[in-house]
Amino acid sequence: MQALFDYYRYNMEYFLIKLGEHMSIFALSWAMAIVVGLLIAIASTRPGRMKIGNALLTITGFSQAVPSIAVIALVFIFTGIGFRPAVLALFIYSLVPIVFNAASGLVSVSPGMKEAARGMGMTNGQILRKVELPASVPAILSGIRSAATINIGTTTIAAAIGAGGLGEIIFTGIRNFNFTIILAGAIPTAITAILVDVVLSVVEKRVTSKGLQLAEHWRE
Amino acid sequence: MAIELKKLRKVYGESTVAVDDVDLTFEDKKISILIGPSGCGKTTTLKMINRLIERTSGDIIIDGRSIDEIGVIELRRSIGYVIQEIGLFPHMTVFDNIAVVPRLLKWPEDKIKKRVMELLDLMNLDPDEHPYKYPVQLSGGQKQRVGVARGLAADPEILLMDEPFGAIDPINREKLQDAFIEIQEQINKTIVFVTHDIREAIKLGDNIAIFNEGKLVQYDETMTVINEPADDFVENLLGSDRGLRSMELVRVHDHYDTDFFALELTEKLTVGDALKEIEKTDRRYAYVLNEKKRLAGYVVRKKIEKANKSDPLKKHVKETESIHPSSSLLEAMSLMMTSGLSAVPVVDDRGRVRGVVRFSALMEMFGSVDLTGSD
Amino acid sequence: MEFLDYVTRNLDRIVSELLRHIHIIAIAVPISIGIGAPIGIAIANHKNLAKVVIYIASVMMTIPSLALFGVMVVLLAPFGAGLGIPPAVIALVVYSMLPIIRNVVVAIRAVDPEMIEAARGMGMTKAQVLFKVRLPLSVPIIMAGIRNAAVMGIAVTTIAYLVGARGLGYFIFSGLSRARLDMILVGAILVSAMGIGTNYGLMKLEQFLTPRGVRLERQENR
Ligand SMILES: Nc1ncnc2c1ncn2[C@@H]1O[C@H](COP(=O)(O)OP(=O)(O)OP(=O)(O)O)[C@@H](O)[C@H]1O
Ligand SMILES: [Mg+2]
Repeated sequence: MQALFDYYRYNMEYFLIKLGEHMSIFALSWAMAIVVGLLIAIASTRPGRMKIGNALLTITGFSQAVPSIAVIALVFIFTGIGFRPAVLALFIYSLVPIVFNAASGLVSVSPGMKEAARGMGMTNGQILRKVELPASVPAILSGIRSAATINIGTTTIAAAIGAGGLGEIIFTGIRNFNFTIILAGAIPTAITAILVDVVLSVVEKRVTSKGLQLAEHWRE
Repeated sequence: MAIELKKLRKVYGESTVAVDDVDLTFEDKKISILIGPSGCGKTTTLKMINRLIERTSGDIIIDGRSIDEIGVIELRRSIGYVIQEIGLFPHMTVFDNIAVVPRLLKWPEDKIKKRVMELLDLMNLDPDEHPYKYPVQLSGGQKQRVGVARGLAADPEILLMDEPFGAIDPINREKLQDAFIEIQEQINKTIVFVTHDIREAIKLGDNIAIFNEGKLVQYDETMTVINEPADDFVENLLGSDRGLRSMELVRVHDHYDTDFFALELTEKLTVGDALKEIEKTDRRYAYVLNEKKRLAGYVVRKKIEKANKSDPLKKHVKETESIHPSSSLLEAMSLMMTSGLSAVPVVDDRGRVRGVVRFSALMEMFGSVDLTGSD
Repeated sequence: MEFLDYVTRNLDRIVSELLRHIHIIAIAVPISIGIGAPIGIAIANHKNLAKVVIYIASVMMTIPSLALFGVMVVLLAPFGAGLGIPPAVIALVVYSMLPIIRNVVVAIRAVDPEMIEAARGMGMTKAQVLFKVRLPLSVPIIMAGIRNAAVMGIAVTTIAYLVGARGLGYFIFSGLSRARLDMILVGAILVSAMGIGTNYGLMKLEQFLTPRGVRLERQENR
């Protein structure tokens, strides 16, 4: 315990830098993945393009079984080491759950509902904004949330390609078989991951229509 | 607004003729039913009206204008559209669901609120409780009422309904149908209603259009369809006990006679005065209304001819049974049987006499119905 | 070219690390099924308990695997087991238990109560209800949990190389530290193929194990 405090006391600056790196890799890649992922999911599920949407679902469905480290490794092969390759790798890796969940949400909006909307005189844009997206919010958010969890976990591994972040501390600890350093990296990593997830679960609750939450309960 | 279909035709792909040169006119302010076996083109016909499906050829004229002259979005916003309950938006409250079209039309929010409350009232949904519920919290019947309310929200002249009560259990379906008849009495819309339930068709329809394999087989007033089926197909559709069954389903509402004679009762009115009035008409009896124009009873001419002419008429008024416009003709018939009357007055909610149902007219309508029945 | 060269020259090593990788998963996943499924069955009928357990498990899941390995190393070191297979297996069990517990609970709760009542009405005992009604009907969801656990296990085992458990992580991590692209590629391709293949295989198995009636009903609902 004492050793742990000492570690932070003597390495505060280093620790804060690593924490900063960690959060910026995570936040940058995650934010990019949300924007790009949603655009891809929306574009591939427009009327008449459902085939593309379904194909994308199959592809992303299978890609979810690829371990994150494999993606990091492949990105390394093409772009080398450092912060940017890490962000790129994490961006690609977080795209998968976001696109998968958003597209499956959008694809499964009931045709009856969309037809009712069209029959009432909504334009395609209005159907997207007022019906498809709100009805897919739970799926979209769960994709975004699971991308965050995966992403923040994978960020630690990205230290292996010289991206820095809290993973670097754990790696140092493991390499030197130094328990204090391992814990000094592992504990804050776990805490940030849990915190991010808790915050997102709160956001999820607030953003999801009460009608959909109730519908979820009904099914239980 | 009447809707005219002119040589309306829809071909899917190369050769599936879903709707085959249909000519017919849905009359203004009437409920017109589209019925026929699965796949006969009912839904296709309906959806061509709001252009959810584009027709292959022919034309659809609303209020003298081809629907092509109206922008498709504008057209749809001006026509109510109700489908089975799947069409409600689960992420919106009942209020927001109903308010969809008014909001698309950019109505001011206070007008929307007023309209939604009005509709909830019309649909018999509690305006204190229901607007803030979500679709999952409603029963099937309530959802369907919300669906109808949503279709009516922007007060369209035309309402298209595709098997709106199809997913509801039989008992609640009956209730919804009864409610729907009363609602139509108040709102008087031009309604095109798809169903595959012949009971529903007879009960709700002013006119019935029968389709088979994309072709219009018969289009007539409901009673005409029952009495003069165009061919074996229609006859089969109606079923064997159609006489009795349709009597049970057809409402008094469309079939009473407004030609009757009534006297207004005052304290001073004597038998002599009354007789003078009746003799002008050669009727055998007269209804008697009280000061508030409510039905008080009736007097029989032969009976009062024998009475003292200076008697107040009041002494000779006999009470009578009456029937509500939304009762079925079968109820009217049994009332005649049990009371021995040859005619029953039709009295509405407000106590006004709207007309009479006569036994002779029923006999004419149903011809050879065997009233001893099969059960 | 360089890549193929590497593969042919190191075929023995590739096969042995692959087997090692499978070995770790083959120990851990059955353990977590063995622990997770009974827990799931036991808590499924206590709504609040189920909620708490699932919540705790899902919090554990959010902990990055590297951090968990780090903690394992520290905790197991006093028993002389801080490196090698033990931390790998334990971390893996911890991770893969969540999808199993969660899916078992969800699956059992999803069975229509009327059906249970019908079964009891026919005179089935509690155990018979479980084995003849609840579990067969739950196959698709439970199998999905196992599939989830196995796929995750493949990824986590790759990281386990760092705590001395070896396995396919060797090619990636040593490749990265030596900047040997051919090694990295071997590792990346193998773990990806293994992940996708396992996912696909278990999906097929899931379809095969699902009672035909349930399968038809699911298709119908789509
Ligand atoms: N999008 C489509 N593409 C090809 N054929 C279609 C399409 N929609 C309908 N059809 C065909 O057109 C015919 C009429 O279909 P329609 O949906 O109008 O029938 P319906 O009378 O409403 O039947 P139901 O009572 O089952 O609802 C059917 O043979 C149907 O298979
Ligand atoms: Mg139809």
